[in-house]
Amino acid sequence: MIKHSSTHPPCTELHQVGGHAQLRQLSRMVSECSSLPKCTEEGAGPTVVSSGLPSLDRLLRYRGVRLGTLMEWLESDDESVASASGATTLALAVAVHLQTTNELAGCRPVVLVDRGRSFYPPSVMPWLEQSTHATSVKDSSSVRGRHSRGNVTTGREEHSLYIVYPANEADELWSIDQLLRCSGVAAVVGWPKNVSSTGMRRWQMAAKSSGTVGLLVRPSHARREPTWAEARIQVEPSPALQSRCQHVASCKTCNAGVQQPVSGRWIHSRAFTLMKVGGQWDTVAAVPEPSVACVLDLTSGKEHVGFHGTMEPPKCQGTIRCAS
Amino acid sequence: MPGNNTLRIMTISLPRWPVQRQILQQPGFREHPIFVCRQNARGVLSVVSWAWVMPPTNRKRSQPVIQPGFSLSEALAVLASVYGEWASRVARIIPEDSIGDVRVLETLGRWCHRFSPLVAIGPEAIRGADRGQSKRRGVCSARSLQVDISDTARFFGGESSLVRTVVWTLAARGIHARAAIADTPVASWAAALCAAQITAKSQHLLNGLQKLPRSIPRRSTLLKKGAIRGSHHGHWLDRQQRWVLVPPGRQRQSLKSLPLKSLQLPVNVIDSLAEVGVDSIGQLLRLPRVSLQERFGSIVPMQVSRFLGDVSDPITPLQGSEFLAASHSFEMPVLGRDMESTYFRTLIEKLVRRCLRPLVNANRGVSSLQVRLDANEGHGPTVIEVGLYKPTVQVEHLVDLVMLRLERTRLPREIADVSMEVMSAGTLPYRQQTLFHGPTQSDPSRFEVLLNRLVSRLGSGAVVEPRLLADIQPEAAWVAAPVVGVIGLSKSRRSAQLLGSSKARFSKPVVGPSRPIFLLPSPRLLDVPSLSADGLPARFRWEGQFHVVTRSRGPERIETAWWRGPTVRRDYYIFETDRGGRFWMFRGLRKQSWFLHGTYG
Repeated sequence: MIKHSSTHPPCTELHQVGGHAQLRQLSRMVSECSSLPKCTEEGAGPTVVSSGLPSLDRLLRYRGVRLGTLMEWLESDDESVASASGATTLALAVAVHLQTTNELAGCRPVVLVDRGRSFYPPSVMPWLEQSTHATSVKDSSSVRGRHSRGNVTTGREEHSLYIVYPANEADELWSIDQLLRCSGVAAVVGWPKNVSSTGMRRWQMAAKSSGTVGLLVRPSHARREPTWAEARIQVEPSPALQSRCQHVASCKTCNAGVQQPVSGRWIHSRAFTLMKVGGQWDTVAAVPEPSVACVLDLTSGKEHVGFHGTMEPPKCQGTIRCAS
Repeated sequence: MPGNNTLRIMTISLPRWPVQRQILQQPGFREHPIFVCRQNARGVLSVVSWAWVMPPTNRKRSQPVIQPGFSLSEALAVLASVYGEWASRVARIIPEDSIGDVRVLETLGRWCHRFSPLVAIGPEAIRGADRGQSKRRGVCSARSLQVDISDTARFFGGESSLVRTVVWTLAARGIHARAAIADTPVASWAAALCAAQITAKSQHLLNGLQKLPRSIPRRSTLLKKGAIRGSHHGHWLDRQQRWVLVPPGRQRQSLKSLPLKSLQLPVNVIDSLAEVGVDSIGQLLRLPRVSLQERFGSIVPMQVSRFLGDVSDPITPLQGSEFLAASHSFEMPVLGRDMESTYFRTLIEKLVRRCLRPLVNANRGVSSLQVRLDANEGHGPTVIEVGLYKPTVQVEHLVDLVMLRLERTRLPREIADVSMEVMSAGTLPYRQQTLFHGPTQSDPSRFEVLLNRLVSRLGSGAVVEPRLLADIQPEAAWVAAPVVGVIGLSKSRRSAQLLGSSKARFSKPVVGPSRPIFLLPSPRLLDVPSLSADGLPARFRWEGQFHVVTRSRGPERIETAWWRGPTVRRDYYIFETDRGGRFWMFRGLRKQSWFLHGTYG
């Protein structure tokens, strides 16, 4: 993957060096080389990036989110809190991180496919603004001279979040498919209820072709279905851990990037237990399922990395859980 | 009949356009008093336009006098004084949407191409330009269209016939308009705006030797023909005079009695002239232009010259009126089900190429496109409009979008004619050329292509950008701005308009962890069987399951201003249950009931 940076000579100079024919030939040769199947991941740009949640990274096979894959987020087994379990919150936190991370070239938006028309943007918009601001500051001081978020080269107005409202299930499946095929999208978040194995495979191939990450929040009963997702994470709210957050401060990122406690309101954070319950074509099997605890700072969409006060840092609980 | 070299401009004035537009789009509004309002910097809503098409019929009352610029509370009080308090309760209060108004006006302008190829949007009529209304200035009360009919009137049987046709045809479509024809755009606009002030006698004089219609159509006639679907007594638009014809070269004599506001002069100039007793056009025309220039600068002499036709004053045609159109007529009608065939795709491609050819040379691209499939006689045409996120000249992409729309459209059984028209065009976005294009490199244009595809299949309102608004009521704290929707307006202008409404307010948007991930479409009443000592729910039932509250945070009182209509008074709490679920609930302060409004999904 070729990154555009200030180290590349400007086109005008190349025009002076050689003629148009040579340039076209050179361009064609580079295109051909780039289109060859990659034998190694070195030099081809990052294929695995951090999810933004260190706990989740530890749970994932490649210690991060592999680009061009799907990730399923299962809601809680407890039906009474399924829609309030926090699976969407975590999926959005990962999506926002993918949108703003420096590991990927270009500024690509996050697109939500919300058939139920119930997503409420004011809850998440501050995450995007904070991350974008932080990234812009880094960019401006970066020696690499990467393009700013304003995307001067393209002249495109910057918007980091789009919402698609499909009217029916067919439109929803089509929209997710189309979005996953587009390399101009950082992540697609959807809430598909019923999707066949064929449809999921189609999405997986679409994501693979573009490098876009699909984050699908699904009901817990989807666990019984085979999947083409790279990872399947079940999210359970953790009341026990949450109660210990009573005195844990909400954190904000200061200029130095160190998190410090600022206030003690419990609504600013939320504790979850994340369980990996199978991946690509992993059917229900009696295999140990690792789980981790994760405390998310709801003001920034980042995970609490260090804890102050009475709570200990979250670590892998080592829970062995056999699927029934 | 005017000579061939005489410029003749017809102005179609659309009084109370913001309200007319709302009623056109939502006919149910006819039964309610409608107030289109704008919020000023202090947060007070002022009336931009209002109407009540079908007021109560049991008793005869005088029409309430509500002027644009009234504060909403003032207007509701006047309404209540005439019809009773219930009338103010059933009133519909709609925020001003000037972009939507312009969009529909442009559509109407394109419809007017049947009268002339040159159609322009005329200047706004600013209410408050009258003397003594300095506090209520700046409210647009009417919009207008201007049509150059210099050489086209004869095709409609003359100017008199044409102007009548325009007014009647619009009335049949539910649009109330006044029209005037004169030599210059300014004179024509003035006559149309003040048509109601021109008496039947002067109308006769104005028409000179032209054949005058015997009588203005009576209201009963219009009702019988279905042209007016209005109130049973009185009318929400005065109908003293619907059209005016100013004979060629007679605007000085004919329009001398009109007020100065019809000359499109600044309000301060009108006030200054009124102080010295100059109130009408005739009085102004008697003053020497040199002294007017010394006193008021060049604006007054310029407007006088434009009024009299002393200077050239061309109208600026609507975008998309350059006739970038192409059509194809079949020798024999083809079946609608064949529209998805390869042949039809080739035909569409051919039409697109024909439309694009002039644009490519001018470095412009298509922003919106209209495809019209005409069936046999007796069936209406099927019209498909394709809007784009950014102007483009990619033929394949445009053909894909059209075919995508056709797949979702119910086509007529037989199609006799296919025509395509570029509705709006824009300058192609500048994109820096890159030397190499790797296959995995993210390209912004791919995302734009994707947006166009999504919009084509799902509709313009289905792909949106969320934008925060500084509104305390959760339901109104954000707005979904369609990425492709307002055709003919640039995206930056749309964004500015949307954000402008929020800048006018005081508070910042409420965002962050105190807001839920999912908001229910409407609050749901909860069953709360037990309360704690502090009056908060200890348990509640939702979706058939009981939840035990372990902790809560609140209240966050949200109370909307009384002038915004039905008052919202709520105390919001965040509840966490024993199973870890987090809910956003409120207690209504009127009935003390508990509602679920959102979940932290």
